[in-house]
Amino acid sequence: MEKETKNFDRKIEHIMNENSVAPPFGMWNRISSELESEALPIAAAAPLALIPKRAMFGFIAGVAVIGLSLITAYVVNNSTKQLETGKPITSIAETSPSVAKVVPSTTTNVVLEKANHIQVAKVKTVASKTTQQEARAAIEPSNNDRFGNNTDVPVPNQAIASNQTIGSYYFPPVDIVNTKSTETTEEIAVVTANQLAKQEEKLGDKKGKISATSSSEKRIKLKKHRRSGFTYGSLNRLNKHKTN
Amino acid sequence: MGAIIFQGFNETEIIQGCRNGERKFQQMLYNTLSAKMFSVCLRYANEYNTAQDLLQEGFVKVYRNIEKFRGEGSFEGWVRRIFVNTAIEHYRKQVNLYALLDTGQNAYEDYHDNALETLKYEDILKMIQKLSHGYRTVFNLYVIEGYSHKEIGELLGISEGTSKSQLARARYLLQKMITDNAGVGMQSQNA
Repeated sequence: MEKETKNFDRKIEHIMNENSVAPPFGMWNRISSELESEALPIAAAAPLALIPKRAMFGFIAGVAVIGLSLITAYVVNNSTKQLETGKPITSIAETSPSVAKVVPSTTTNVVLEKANHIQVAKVKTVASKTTQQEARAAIEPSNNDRFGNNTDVPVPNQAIASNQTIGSYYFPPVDIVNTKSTETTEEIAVVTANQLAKQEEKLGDKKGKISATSSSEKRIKLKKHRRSGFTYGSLNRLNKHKTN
Repeated sequence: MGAIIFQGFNETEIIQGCRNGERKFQQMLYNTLSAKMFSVCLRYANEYNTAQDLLQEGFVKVYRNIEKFRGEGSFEGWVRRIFVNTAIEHYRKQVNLYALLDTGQNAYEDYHDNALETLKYEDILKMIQKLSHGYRTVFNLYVIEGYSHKEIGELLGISEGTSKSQLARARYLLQKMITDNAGVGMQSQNA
């Protein structure tokens, strides 16, 4: 019995595997059209998928830029405030206590202040008038005595008063006694005032004449004439009726 | 299942062309295997139109998943497995297979081997298609594809006993149909 069933199975298998049926005409077109229809949505979806990525990238970049600018602005604002107040930066003081020692306190370190003051005075004495002149004479040649050591702009040396200190900026003394220039200006001013008065008198006469013979009145008259003389056109038909 | 040779291109070249998505090589593969795969689809389907749908679905799956073929076994066997799985998937949700009581009718008593020899391929195919889906699937898997009952059970989600009983019932009905058909044929020949 088992042998019979095995023979049956083997024969069926043989018949089924030996034979084949050709698919109907047009099956390949169906398959290829399905493959194309699957490929098209993928191609169409590609840009759509890219746009959000780009948008997201742009959004993230924008947020990052804005955030960085805000942070920098905050940091700069804080640092400027601290500089204005003159207080040491707390963070530095916290992190490095040695820096805090460098900043002098106005109330306690009086000795230090004095020492600094003495040092400044020493510097000023070095740049005294006599030493400066001596140094200049030693360095510069004799024909260039008029000009200073500054090679950028030839500025004449100013005479420095004996009581002035070199350390501070020196304003040259203004010679108020010398009145030569002011006298000349006063004379010129008087001459010009007289000339102006004469010219005005002349001009006044001319103005009267000009006003008498000016063409502005004529123009006004012409305008009046034109205004009064302007008439609308009359209809001949109405005149005819009147005559009749 | 020998290597595919079509229009001067060997199997490897055709597979590589299909991997590259070239339609020319896809059509070559279709022309080479379509007849064999359509006969597989006809065996698993109960009608011609359903077999066409299975063929289309199967080839699309082959082109999609051809990159997964490692070249270890036969390419035709790999394609055939895809078609079988496609057919099983197609009917999986439609039919629930259940175990049949063993009636002891493993074979039809009046069946003779000579009856099968009188029939053509198309006739046998029609008889297989007349079987219910459960019987047909188990019969195809066991008799033609060579799966064991354990494998069929794993593939269809049924027990080995169910597979055996389904196969026995399918064989009985097929032998009966063959005998009846052969009898009609013999009678018509005698008349």
